[in-house]
Amino acid sequence: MYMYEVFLVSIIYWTTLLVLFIWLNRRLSVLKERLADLEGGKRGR
Amino acid sequence: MIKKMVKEMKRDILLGIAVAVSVVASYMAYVAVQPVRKDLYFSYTHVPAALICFLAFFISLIASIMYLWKRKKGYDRTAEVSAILGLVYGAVALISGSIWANATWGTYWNWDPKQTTMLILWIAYMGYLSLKLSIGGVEKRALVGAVYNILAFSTLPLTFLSVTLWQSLHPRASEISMALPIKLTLSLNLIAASLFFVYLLIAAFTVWSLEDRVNALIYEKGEGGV
Repeated sequence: MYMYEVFLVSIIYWTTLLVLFIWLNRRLSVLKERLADLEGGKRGR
Repeated sequence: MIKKMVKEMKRDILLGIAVAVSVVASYMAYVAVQPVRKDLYFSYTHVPAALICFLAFFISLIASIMYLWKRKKGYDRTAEVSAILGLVYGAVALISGSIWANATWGTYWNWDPKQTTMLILWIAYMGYLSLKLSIGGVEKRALVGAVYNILAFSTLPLTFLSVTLWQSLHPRASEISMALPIKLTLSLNLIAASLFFVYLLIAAFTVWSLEDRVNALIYEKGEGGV
């Protein structure tokens, strides 16, 4: 009883958290790289 | 450099603790503790999502008030990031609530006061983000956003009071009788969700801060954006 719905709700909850986590970490690494490039370029000038 | 590394390590430790608590909480929720009322399984995800949504909007409100008082950009950024996370958790709470409603009330959406007021709250905060995106000037955007945030938050007490003010199928917190193991399991799931929320809030704040720094450097150099 309700097991399919409970499973569905858990999947929605955890997938949302996982997507947020992955998106933030990917964005973080891209920005860090970009910042290192820009700061390196700035020092090089 | 070392300070930065320590900061990142702290974030990783927080994530580790959040994952560990979540594993224990999920084990207790779905394996160890078997509630007599099977629909209580929904509460392990729906209740944390809804409460974290309210917490996020509350943090956003406090940050907006602080911005109006101190006029520091960090507060505006915190308000924005927290509102975005609140919207995500709010969407999860609305969807999971609808699925729970369909399982117990027989319909996904019946304009129950709780559902309706929660949707109003969610739309009010979507309005906050839309408003911020539509204003060009940085200071004007922050100022108008902060004022609007206070107005948007005024719909939150309505969500809390909806079950007392109107006839609702949604039970009041005091009406739900739970055995101690279920209460403990729910509390543990709440702690896990809070830890994840704090981690996500810190990560999102860092992303927004880095974006500002990168854009400032790009502007200085006259290059294209990220």
